[in-house]
Amino acid sequence: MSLQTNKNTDLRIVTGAAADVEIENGVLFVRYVEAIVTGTVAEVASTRDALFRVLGNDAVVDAAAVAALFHAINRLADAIGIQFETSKLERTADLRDQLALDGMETARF
Amino acid sequence: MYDHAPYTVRQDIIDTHVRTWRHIAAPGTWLTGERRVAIAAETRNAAACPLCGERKAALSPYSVEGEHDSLKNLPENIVEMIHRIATDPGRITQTWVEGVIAGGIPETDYIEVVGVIAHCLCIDTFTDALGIARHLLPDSIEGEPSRERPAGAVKDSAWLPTVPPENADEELLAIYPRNIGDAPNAPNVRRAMSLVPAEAISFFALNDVQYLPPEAMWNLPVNPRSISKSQVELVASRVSSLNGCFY
Repeated sequence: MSLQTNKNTDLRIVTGAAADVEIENGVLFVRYVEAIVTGTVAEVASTRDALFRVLGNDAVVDAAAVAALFHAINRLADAIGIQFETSKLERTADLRDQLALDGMETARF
Repeated sequence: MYDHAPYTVRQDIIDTHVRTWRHIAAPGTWLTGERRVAIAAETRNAAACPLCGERKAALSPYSVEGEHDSLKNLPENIVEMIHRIATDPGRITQTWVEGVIAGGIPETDYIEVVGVIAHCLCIDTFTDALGIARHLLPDSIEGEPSRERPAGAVKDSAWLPTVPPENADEELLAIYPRNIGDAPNAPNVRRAMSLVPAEAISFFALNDVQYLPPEAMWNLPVNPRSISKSQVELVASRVSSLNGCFY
């Protein structure tokens, strides 16, 4: 994530290890995503409504689009076993350490 | 496609989803349209499979034997492949993939099946997320697969061969970012399905309208979305974490 934003932010909410994040309305997005991936239809609806009330139509559509794309691309990456590029190792070291990512089953270097 | 949706969907998403549905229905590189639509149907069906549910809950998916609850329109080895990728991708191993291929699914067909799963799941998850009824699967389009394997695929960045940029033709090169900021020449995720270029090209059309196109991906100030890049990446990262995907 730091690759895209160039900011030093506590991102442990990404792995569920923190309850908040210093990104505007970050918790609203995270709750919506969690419902999309693991929740019920009712949870998706309630978290989507919460995001809509604060940020409106386009934010909901963009969040749904990104979540759906990654839900699919995760399968593509893990079904084909793509490796993490060595060129990214150094600049993602802090982030991987903060989130303890290198211990994941799907970490392939 | 989204005329009656409760949310206004961007036109570039609509256009790409229409093309994607046709892509699923049409003869592919190695599979017929009929086979491809059957794979999409089985992808949808996998979510409710009791065996997949038991395997997902088990410490190891390999410890649970049984038969998938399938639609019976595909050979069992393809059903196993679809169900595993759709329901438990984070615990797929190289040994499992090699076993699937040794069991009679050529690596080209394997990639194409992955492509159909990914296209179908992407659009289904989008409609589910917006509370829109899933689109009816398309009628298959008759015709023969093209059966063209790209030259120059190598096994150096994944468990299966991929086409590096130096061996890619112009059509495939179009999805490999070049001369954009500090973008790598061909990120492994964009190379992943390049053994079947039509799948890779079609899927990254979805990527570019639903996530970020290359010119925005590797240029910090460029953001074509209504939400910030921090918010985009937060969504992407949380999904990947929940799916157990490191990449």
